[in-house]
Amino acid sequence: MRTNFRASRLLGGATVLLTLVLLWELLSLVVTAKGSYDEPLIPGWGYLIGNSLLRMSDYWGGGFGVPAPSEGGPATYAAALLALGSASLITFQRVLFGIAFGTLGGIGLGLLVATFDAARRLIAPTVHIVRMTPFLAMIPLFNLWFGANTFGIILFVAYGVAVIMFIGTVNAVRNVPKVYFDRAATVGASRATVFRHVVLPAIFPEIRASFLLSFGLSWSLVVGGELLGAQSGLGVIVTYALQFAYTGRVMIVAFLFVIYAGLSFALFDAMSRRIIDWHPQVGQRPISAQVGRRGVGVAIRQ
Amino acid sequence: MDPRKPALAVRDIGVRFVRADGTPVVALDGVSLQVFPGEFVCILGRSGHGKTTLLNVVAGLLRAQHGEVRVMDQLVTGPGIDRGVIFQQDAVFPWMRVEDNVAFGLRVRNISTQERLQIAREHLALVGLSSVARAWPRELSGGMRGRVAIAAVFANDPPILLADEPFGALDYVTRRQLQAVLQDLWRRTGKTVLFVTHDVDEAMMLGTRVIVIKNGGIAEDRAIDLPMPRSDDDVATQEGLAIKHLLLHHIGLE
Repeated sequence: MRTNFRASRLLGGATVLLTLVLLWELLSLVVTAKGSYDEPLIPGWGYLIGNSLLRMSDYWGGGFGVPAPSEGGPATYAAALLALGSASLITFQRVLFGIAFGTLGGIGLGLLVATFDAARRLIAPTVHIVRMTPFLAMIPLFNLWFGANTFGIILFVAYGVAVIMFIGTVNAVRNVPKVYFDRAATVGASRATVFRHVVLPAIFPEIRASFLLSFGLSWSLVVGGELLGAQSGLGVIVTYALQFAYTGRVMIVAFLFVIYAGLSFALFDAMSRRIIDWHPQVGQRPISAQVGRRGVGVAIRQ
Repeated sequence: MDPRKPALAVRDIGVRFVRADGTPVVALDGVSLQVFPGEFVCILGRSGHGKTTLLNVVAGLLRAQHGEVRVMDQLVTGPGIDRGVIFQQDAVFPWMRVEDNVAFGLRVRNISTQERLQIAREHLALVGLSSVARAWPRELSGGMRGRVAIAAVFANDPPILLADEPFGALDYVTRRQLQAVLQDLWRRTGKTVLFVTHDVDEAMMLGTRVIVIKNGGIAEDRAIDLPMPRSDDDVATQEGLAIKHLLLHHIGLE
């Protein structure tokens, strides 16, 4: 049953993907309008791979024995892939550190607020005001305060992730059934024991859901941060491509983000599933089905 | 324990709530009772009449505005390991395997892993759950989780056991089975039990004494001198039926 379910899901996914690919090609044949630099507005697959991907080599600065086109070298796929790869690594690094700091900070603050009344009065109003501010509106401020460099972008991602993790943590603690605390109290559990053996495991499923939410968001945040003034990373490639209306190049970076976000999502899902094996709704069930059930993603449960 | 000294003494307890709309509610008004070692006292009453409030005060989970509770002459100021509680809601931790749930109280008391797991398995055997010691609670039926809750409380070996309608949400057959399990453990261990229920038949089947709570006060306090363990036939005797009619009268059915 289980392998059947997986196989049919895989088949379904492949069918959808193939259909989308074909539809796009069809659309590119129908819509032949061109942008300001003679770039097709809807580039077909031939153009995307033969031109846009190849021209990514423009963003290669040279090295590893592959000369940069800006220094007279030829436009090669090797240079293109190196350009994309090195930009990806820089962006990965920012996402990773941003998520790490944001998650730690958000959960930490959330637990403080949920545990201590004094912390709630001090921190909660500030965070609630901050979270009402649109993330993207904060980019210029982060640029001004911390610079449009890796440090500033990491802080920006961390800030966005922290806000979501904070709210998720506070709500998660609030949702722990009172009877669990009562039971712990009647067997003489100390505050530390309650925290370690009741609060932490009880909030984990909700924290995990918040984390998945912030995971997707962090990719948007990093691009947002890089679009405005960074010197390196995938967002910068998009910025350059936009200046010349290179639709195809923008699309290739967008594809990369879809792949990265999807892979990181799947990786985290696989890593955290074991810890949450006990959970009645999550245990041993693929998270896509769970997300779909809540109406966030596409439900593929038949 | 001196059988003539009360294991549990409740004196003049008064509890008031204020509803969200501001109207005051008197949940308990001057309740006093004594429970002696080894007794199985059923607190019977309709919902909303103060049974659970009384149990929570005795458990130390709720502070009364008036009066005091003493356990073996010690004043109760909060929850304590001298009183084990079986809750109305499912309080089995879903993130702990069955045996770790049963061993949780022992873990809190820093008993070694080996010893507490041994005690937990012994108690799982007593409630007939040896085969699922390593299972997750989500893999168990409601009745099995009820057994886990019973095993978990007995594993801590508290002298006093408090139960708040623990079987209220179960089907008839499961309820009868768990009643038998609890009664069996009570007879083996000789613990003092305060058992809240809204079910007259349950009180008749389990209690050595039944106290009826009505409008926040005690309406009846009566010993049930029927043989233990009790069969349906024992309860259906002339004496049993007389008690049953009295209880039905008190909860407003006759």
